[in-house]
Amino acid sequence: MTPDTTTPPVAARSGLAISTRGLVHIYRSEGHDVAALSGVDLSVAAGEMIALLGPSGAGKSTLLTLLGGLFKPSAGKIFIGEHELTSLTTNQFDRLRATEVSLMLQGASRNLLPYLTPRQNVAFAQHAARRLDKHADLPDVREVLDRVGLTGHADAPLGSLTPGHLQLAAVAICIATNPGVILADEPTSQLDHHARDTVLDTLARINTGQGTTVVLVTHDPQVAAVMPRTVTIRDGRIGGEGRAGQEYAVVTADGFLPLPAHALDVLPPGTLVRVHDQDGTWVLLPDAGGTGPEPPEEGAR
Amino acid sequence: MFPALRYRWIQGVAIALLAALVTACAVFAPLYDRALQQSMVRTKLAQAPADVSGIRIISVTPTTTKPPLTNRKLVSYVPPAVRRYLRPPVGSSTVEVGTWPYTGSSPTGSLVARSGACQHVRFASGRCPSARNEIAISTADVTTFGWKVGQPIPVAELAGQISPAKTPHKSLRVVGVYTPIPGRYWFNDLPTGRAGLTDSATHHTEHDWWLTDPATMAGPLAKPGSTEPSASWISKVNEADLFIDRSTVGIDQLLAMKKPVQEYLSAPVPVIGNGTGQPTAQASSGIADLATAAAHGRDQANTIVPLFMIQLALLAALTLWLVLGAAIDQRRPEVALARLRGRSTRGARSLLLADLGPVVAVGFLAGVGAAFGLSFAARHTWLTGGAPFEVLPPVLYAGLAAAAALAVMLLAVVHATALAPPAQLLRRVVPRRVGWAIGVGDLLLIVVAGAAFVAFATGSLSGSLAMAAPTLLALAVGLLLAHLLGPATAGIGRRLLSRGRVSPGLALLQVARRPGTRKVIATITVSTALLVFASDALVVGARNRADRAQAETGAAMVSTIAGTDVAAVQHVLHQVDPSGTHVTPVAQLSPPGEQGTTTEAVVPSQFANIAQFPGLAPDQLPWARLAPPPVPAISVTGTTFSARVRSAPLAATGQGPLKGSRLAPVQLRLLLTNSDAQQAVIGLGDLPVTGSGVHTVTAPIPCAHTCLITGLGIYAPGVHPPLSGGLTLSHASVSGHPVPLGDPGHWRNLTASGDGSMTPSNAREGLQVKFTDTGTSEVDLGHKSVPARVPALVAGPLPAGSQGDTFQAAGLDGITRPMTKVGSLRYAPGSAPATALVNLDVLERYGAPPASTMVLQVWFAHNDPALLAKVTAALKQQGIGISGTTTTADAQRVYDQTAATWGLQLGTVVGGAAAVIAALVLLIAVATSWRMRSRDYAALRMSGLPRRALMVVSVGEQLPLVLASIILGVACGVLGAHYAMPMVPLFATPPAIPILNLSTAWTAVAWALLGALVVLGVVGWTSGRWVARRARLTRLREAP
Repeated sequence: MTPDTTTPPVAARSGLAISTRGLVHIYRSEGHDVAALSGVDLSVAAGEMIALLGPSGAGKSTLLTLLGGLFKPSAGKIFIGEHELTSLTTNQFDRLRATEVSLMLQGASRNLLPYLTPRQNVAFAQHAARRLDKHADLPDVREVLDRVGLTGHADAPLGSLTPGHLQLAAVAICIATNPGVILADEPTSQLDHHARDTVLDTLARINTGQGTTVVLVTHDPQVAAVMPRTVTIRDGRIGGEGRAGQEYAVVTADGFLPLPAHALDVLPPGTLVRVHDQDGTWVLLPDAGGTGPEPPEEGAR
Repeated sequence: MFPALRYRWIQGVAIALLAALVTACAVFAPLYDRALQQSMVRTKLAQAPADVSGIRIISVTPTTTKPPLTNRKLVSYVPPAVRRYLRPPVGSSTVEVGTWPYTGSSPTGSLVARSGACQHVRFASGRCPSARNEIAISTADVTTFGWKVGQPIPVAELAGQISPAKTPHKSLRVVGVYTPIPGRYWFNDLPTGRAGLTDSATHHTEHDWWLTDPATMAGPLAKPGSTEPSASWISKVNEADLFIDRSTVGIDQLLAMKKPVQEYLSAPVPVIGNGTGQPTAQASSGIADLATAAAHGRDQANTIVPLFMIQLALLAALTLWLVLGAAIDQRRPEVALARLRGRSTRGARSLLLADLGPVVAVGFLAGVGAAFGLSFAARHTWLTGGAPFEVLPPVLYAGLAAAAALAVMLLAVVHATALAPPAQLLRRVVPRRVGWAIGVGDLLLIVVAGAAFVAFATGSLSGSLAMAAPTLLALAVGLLLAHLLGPATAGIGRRLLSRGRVSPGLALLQVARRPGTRKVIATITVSTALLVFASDALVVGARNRADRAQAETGAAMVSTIAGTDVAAVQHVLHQVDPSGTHVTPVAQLSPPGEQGTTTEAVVPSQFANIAQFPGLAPDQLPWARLAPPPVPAISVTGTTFSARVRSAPLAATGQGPLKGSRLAPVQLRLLLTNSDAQQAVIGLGDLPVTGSGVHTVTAPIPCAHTCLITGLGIYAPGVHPPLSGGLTLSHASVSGHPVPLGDPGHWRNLTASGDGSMTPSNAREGLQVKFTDTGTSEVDLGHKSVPARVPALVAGPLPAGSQGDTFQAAGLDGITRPMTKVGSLRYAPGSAPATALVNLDVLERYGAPPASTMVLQVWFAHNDPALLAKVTAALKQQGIGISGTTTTADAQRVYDQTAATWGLQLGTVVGGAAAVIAALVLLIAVATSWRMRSRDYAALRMSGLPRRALMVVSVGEQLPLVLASIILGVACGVLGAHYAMPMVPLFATPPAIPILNLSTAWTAVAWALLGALVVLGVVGWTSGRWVARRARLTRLREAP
């Protein structure tokens, strides 16, 4: 499963960089305040493709919807390209969604009008962009469907499409306006392997071919494994990153360093740790006389 | 747009139907209202006799030297504002004539020259009179008098008090024999029907109209006993009959005519100077009354029609609002998608409007079309008057109002969703409160509707708005139930589940969690209540119209006799129907004052079977109490009365009023009532002052056809002192046949105290009587076969001056006599509200010439034209005519063709539409929720619930709701109708007699209930199974 990156860019809009600063989001649930995000600093380069990972309830979908402008964060800032989202008006948000940011909801059918064909759905998705700019350089509907490999199903009723095709149709309407950013929530869930790979390939092609920034949320480790960069969200914070198969802990802006999950097995919460620089290598040494649990026999490096 | 419509076509059809219904209600109301008013006016004009709907102007000869106004002149005074709605006049000139030589047996009647008369008769022989002195006579005249074509008939004019010997004469010649063609041309005055009848005033035999040429009406005429011609008839009457032009007169024209007609009738001819000696005229017309009735009917229509239609429109609008809300809810994900793809709030609004707007617009157009179609159907079916097609400004305003209402409703329902942020739109379930709570809007509706109903029920609010009572009650109760049902079903459902009863438990839990439940319950409750109320109102209205027609007419058919000869009519009826089961005589006598009690004299045994008593049980009435006294009447037949009389000497018992007055012989009298119910007083001879031995008295009596001996009398003529005496009457006989005078207990003193007395006692040889005479009046001893007071069943209150159960009411002679109330009636059929129903036989025993004001009728048990013809012929043989016949069916037809009735007939439309709305709501609830429901059921299937159990859950989720709502709606409809019906106008004018029966028409309610149960039950059951069948596991993968 390797994303196909051979498709050349077609009328590409350059991808947009994304960054968040101290992003906090609190919502009320059953009378209680719940912090879904507790200071997330994330930077995604223009044209980058990343996956947000993490357990259920970690905050990854919340982060995605904040990036899509569905909610305003409780605190912090979000930058997409030149736009700082928290300061945008409703109209500016509408324009942003019409032209630059495309959000794909979890579940293919939620992204599609059930009574329209794939061709009509794509046209529907382009409607707002065309209204905003009659001379907008939008791809032809057929071309969009061609990019996702649905030309043969352009006029098929949605009810006759397979789940994989439906997801591709959802991808198609996301790219219908050549957005700078695609935000996809679980685009491969409920798909078989083949369909999953097709969808991932398509997203990767769009990313590499058009330079579109792609942020997707996934639970699937196999999906994560093929992504060039992964960001793990844990308890509303960035818990780590993966790049080229390597897992990294990420030092936050205020100096915190969330340990990766496997490190917590040896350094459980409450463990006192000394941080040493040993010949350029930073070592965490549990304090044997500390108040925390007994350190393991061998120090963790 | 079209794919979206196709995708939810059921919903689209439902929305279009509801929009059409709202529009149809709005547009149909003014169309129907107007058509109803026009139909009412046309019906009134068609039903009204020509002389009522037109104008008759009559000019009589003011003096013997001046002629009456000509017809042309008469018409010229009619104001143009009125004349424009009248057809060209039919003029006529009339003189009354009698055949010459004029004797007591000379036939008399009218000689009439009426323009165009020959076009309205058929000639059995001869031709139309076309020259002076030519006449056409009726076929009845030929039969009765033996006149024939070519025969000359010399006549003298009959001019009031002037002797025919001094009035103008003419010799007329019969040139034709006619039969009239009945029609409005005759202005409610047919030229025939008089031949052979006896004129009650002159006692001459009448002939029918003699139709003649107008030239006959001009001079010269012969003067009796000389060759000197007379210039003209003495008492010629000119008439101009103006017919209303029914093709041009509608409600507006009739109302506009009222004032000028009233002004014209008050002074039809301008008065010059003091008017002495001027020809004058009298005008009569019922146009003003018709206009008043039309205005009343219009007001009723303006009340009933909008109230019915507004209720239905509101129900439809409420349902449309709910359905649009549900449709918008269903489109939230689509709006969210649009917003996610950059559409603004305006774009979202446009999306929704583009989706739903055309559906509503199509519904609007269909509604306009339906309104016109319904109006067409109504005009050609139950609006029997034949109203014209009219589109007046109110129709346009109503259409615009409907369009505006639909647009506002659509915009309002779209507004909130269009403005909602995408994140909110993306929520799969609209956030709702946890636990039991009631929204402000619903609470407000419950409180307002409930308070309004309580106000109606307690009488704080009244009027025709009460028709809204059932809807208000149902709205309040339905909403309340809807809110209470959620927590209740949830609780019960959980309990059932915990006991292992999965299917019913799940069904009840589903009821609690469905957001559409409240809407379904409220709408079905209101719809069913409206259906029940409309059905009940319809049937109660029809029942009351039938009851009123029966009670007011009295019998299936009633003929009014032109005369007052009760005995002759009784005799004829006995000949025609000896059993008395098909026809019976009824005599009515109005009270002297307006507030008195009318006397209705009947033959109880026949009347109980033939008269109509809607709402009463005639068998249960105390007819026996009307029977004559148990003392057998002394009936005699013969021409001579004789008896032996022994008298005691007269004795003065005091001083006379004048000094020196002495005792003088007193006269013995016999009181009789003959077979014509007329009293006769027969003098039997004097009783000498000194008394007598036994002597025989003999006197002729008018009793060849039987008499009743009703009393004996003593009369002391002149001024006399108070006296006393005695006599014994024995061996009484009539024409040789012995007459038993009975024992003394069969007689009673009739004389008022102070005038004397007669006291009977027993004697060996006969009836002994002791008498005193202290006044100037006759002293009478009455036979007890004639009661002292007439027993009466009384309807309404006793008249003023009554003491206990004794009161005064008119006898057959029109003079009041004492009566006693022996029982009560709610009403007396065919009579006034205050009526004394008495035994005709009893009343006849009093013997008196019948009053001219008596209304004598023949009541028929059935609407039987053959029997009517038989009775008419039999009466005619006795010289008695029938002046008019009416039937219960005729009376009911009149009531069936009023604004109030036609207004109530809207109940059929309202009831049907309410049922359709209820079914639609159910279907829409299914159409908008079936995807979610089928996914839920699919999940249940996945959890192992068998398909059969799923069916139970799916059907159980809605069928009990439907049934509960129907039962509740029926209860609300019945209760609401109970309070509303007294305020619903059933008639153009309320009945004078207490005939209204507003009790619930349970049969109608049962049919409405059955209809609702079948229609909604089938829809609920079928749709529930339909949804359950779609609970396939593939639904779980969220494919569209």
